[in-house]
Amino acid sequence: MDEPNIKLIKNKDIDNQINQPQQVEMPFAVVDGESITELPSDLYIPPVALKVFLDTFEGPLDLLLYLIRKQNLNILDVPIADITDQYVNYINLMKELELELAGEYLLMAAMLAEIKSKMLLPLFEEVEDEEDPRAELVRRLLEYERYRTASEELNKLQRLERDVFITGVESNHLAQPIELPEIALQELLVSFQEVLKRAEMFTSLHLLKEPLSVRERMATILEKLKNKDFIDFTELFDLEEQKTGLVVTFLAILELMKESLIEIVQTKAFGVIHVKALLSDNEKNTEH
Amino acid sequence: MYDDKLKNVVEAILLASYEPLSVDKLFRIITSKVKTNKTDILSAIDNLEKDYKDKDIEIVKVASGYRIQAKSEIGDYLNIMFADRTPRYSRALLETLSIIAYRQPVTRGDIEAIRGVSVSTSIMRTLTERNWIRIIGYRNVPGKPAMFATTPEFLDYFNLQRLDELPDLPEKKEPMDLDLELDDQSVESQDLEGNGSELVSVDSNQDMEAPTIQD
Repeated sequence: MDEPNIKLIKNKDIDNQINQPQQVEMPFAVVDGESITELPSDLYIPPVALKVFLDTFEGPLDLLLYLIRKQNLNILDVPIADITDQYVNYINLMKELELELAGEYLLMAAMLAEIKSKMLLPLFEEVEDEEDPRAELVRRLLEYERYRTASEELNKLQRLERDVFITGVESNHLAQPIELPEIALQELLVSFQEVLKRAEMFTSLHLLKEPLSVRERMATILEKLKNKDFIDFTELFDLEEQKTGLVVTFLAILELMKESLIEIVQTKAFGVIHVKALLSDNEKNTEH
Repeated sequence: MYDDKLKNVVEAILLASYEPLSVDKLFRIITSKVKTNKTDILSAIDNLEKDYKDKDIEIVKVASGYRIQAKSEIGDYLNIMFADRTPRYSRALLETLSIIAYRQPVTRGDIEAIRGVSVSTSIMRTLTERNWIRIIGYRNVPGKPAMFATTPEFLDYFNLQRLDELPDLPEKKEPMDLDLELDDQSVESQDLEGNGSELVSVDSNQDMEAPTIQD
């Protein structure tokens, strides 16, 4: 695991006030008076521990700002080479820890590499208005920082549920008076009319089933066949009955046949059809 | 209605409502029972304000109207009482909310461009569920992205009446004069939003942790 590569920017300004110690990585631990800045490679760090640290960054811009601020660098004059190295170190660290690396971080690494390579190229004097390759990145960093600062300010505002709390009194116990509306006679009449109209819709035409039951007709037919050997098929029908009555009689005959209670016999083609009751078991012998 | 009676009525209504009520609404409620006018209601509110001076509750005006709340001085006590119920909001959520508040109307794309990371769906859901943001239209570009803005409830929550009461956004710095020579120690940046004549000199050793907030 690489130690994050911290270098001081070659900068007159900093050189002038260099009486402060060089900023180095905070030692992880001090062992026998010797500070340990590099993690022993065989030391097992639960990935969650470092994940907590890396998770605090809200994206690549945030991480970059952290790297810049940590070294008191001027955002408007970012030493791209150093920052790129450090940034890539963090990315590698994330990879090593098998953290899920958001695409945005990789995109930023590529952008930094691009800027770095552009900075290495000599500047053409002829080309006017050539923008510093860092300009776009710096602009984004500055813009992001504005809103990051704003969000910190927003967080400081007094807010409900943290700084101020809504006070109130209970009012549910108060009986809610029920106001009874006054009704004009006119309205009463109108609604009664409506009731009548609605009632009308409920009047219906009662269709009574004719008391024709196949079962009952079956009994009647058997009754007719009783004490008779044969009966003419047509005699079973009462022609004064409606069509439905005739159908019921016919159905009754079919049903009786199905239940083997009657037998229908025709002695010759187109001859008279005779209906004959089948006798119960004890009388069968004489019949067949 | 006598002044004191009206004051007590206004107080009781505000306490019972648990949400801010505008003067219009107070007027409509009270006048349905007894004749009153908005000036009297406003002076009743004034009197309540005086009554509460030495108490730990106060009457404040927020975006949706007036509400009676516990002063921040006793917030510490109440935080102990509500210990587990105090909602905490992540930096990501506050950054997203700030961008919407200051730059509204904004699309998800705008937020992403500033923050450099994709907008979290769960954050947008939380903000919508808290009723702090809403969709106010769709930008007329391919994809018709929704434009988000803040709601009066957002202002209520942060104890504000209007958006311009938000702390000022830090001054915009433009890397216009970004010096191409690496060893130059100071960079002048033009203040585009200000008078233009003001030159901000930013030194490398300046402590940038403390943001400058313009008043």
